[in-house]
Amino acid sequence: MTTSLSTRSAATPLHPQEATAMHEPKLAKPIVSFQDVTKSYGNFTVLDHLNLDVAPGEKVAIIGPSGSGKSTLLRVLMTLEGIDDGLIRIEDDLLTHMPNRNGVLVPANDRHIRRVRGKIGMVFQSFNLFPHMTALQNVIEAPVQVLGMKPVEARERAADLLELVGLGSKLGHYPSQLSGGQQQRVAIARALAMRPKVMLFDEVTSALDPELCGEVLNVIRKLGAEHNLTMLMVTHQMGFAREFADRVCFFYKGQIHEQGTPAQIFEHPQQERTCAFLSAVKEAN
Amino acid sequence: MTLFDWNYAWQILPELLRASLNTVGITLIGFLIAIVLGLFLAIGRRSRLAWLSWPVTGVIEFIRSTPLLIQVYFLYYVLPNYGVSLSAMQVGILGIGLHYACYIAEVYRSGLDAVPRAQWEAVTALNIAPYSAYRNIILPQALRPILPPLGNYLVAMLKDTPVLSAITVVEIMQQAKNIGSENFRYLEPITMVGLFFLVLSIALAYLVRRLETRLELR
Repeated sequence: MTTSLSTRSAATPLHPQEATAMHEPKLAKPIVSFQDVTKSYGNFTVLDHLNLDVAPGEKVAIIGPSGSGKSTLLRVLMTLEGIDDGLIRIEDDLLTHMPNRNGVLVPANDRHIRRVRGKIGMVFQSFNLFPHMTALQNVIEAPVQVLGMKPVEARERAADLLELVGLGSKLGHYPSQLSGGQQQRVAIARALAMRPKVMLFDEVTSALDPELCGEVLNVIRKLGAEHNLTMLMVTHQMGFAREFADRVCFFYKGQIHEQGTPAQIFEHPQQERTCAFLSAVKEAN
Repeated sequence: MTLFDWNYAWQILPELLRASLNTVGITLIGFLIAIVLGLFLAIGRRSRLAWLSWPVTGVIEFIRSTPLLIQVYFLYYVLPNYGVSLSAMQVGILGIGLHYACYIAEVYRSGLDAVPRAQWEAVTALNIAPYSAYRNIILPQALRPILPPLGNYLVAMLKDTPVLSAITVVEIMQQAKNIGSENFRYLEPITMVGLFFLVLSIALAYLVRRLETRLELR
């Protein structure tokens, strides 16, 4: 908590122009907004006064070298990590802060965080399914416990969602009985079951054998086409980012070093770092 | 005089069996206290709130580092001076349950620590509240690997119940001593008590093994 935060009123407009914006999407009202967000581990600054606005329904691909802060961006948005400074807004709500009775911003309490966090879903690199539950139980658990959905209804919806990700025949399987790609698709269904407005994908194909990536990416494609979900994805799959994303953000040293449409970034990168990164990736492939 | 007097053994069997009910009862109720209280102690010790974790850690270490005999003596003979007076049986069950709760808290802690952090992250991402998370997601995963040590403590607790004879609880060992001193023959009652513990320990270990197989990680 810094002094600049505590003195800022909750009513202050909080959408300044992005300093690094090269490509300005037409934002009526961003669904996710990072303002001057800073996060450090000891002396290492992972996010350095980061600004990012994401429009509703926008698909943003986040690329960059390791340690550039891309995963941290998703993790602070999911409140898996706190931030040191700045503000994060989800729709009209602040995520990590809330105004107290005098309108002064204070760190948010658990209740506030849980309410705002409910708008976000996340899929992890290592799936993180609950190993003692079947695919169906994995998807049912949170809607019943958190949304208070009736078990019968939750079961029906879970079966539909698993059908959507192509696992309608694996409802009773335990994670250990599924391939990595199938587990990741269960994880996607599980996150969708909470009806998030924003979905975060954190290197969701990195732990998969190459031949299994396709089935997971296909599910994400399908979601993108059929649902008006806002998506932020950290990815090493440049081909997918290029084809799927509305906007690509290249992260470097905790900041958005360059951003633009996939065509701009992949075909005409302006910054030296971006070029170096992209050619390094190309070489590796 | 025969080496082992079967008639005498037969005669004292009903009395020993009656006392053995106390032994079994103390063990079961005591263990129930231990596994429930132990869980709360473990969660308290793991808490990020220093005002909770420090005192809990202190209590666990204090109780684990002092003998059960002294603890039950204290509870039975000293507490009444402060207006807390319980029957020997109540003190015995509470004392042994509390003692083992502290050991079992450490077992729980190892089990909870072994659940990957990624599971907690999934819980957070799904917005599941801590209570539901512990009950449905974290504990079921933490429990399976710790069933063998929990079973050990159940058997160890059973075998520690004779300590309670020091505060006049009439469990099977105390009864055997009484019978022995009345008849000046200890061989049969003590042998029978030994056999009783042997059979019951093996039976409990078998049950725990069965439970482990049933809950085996899929």
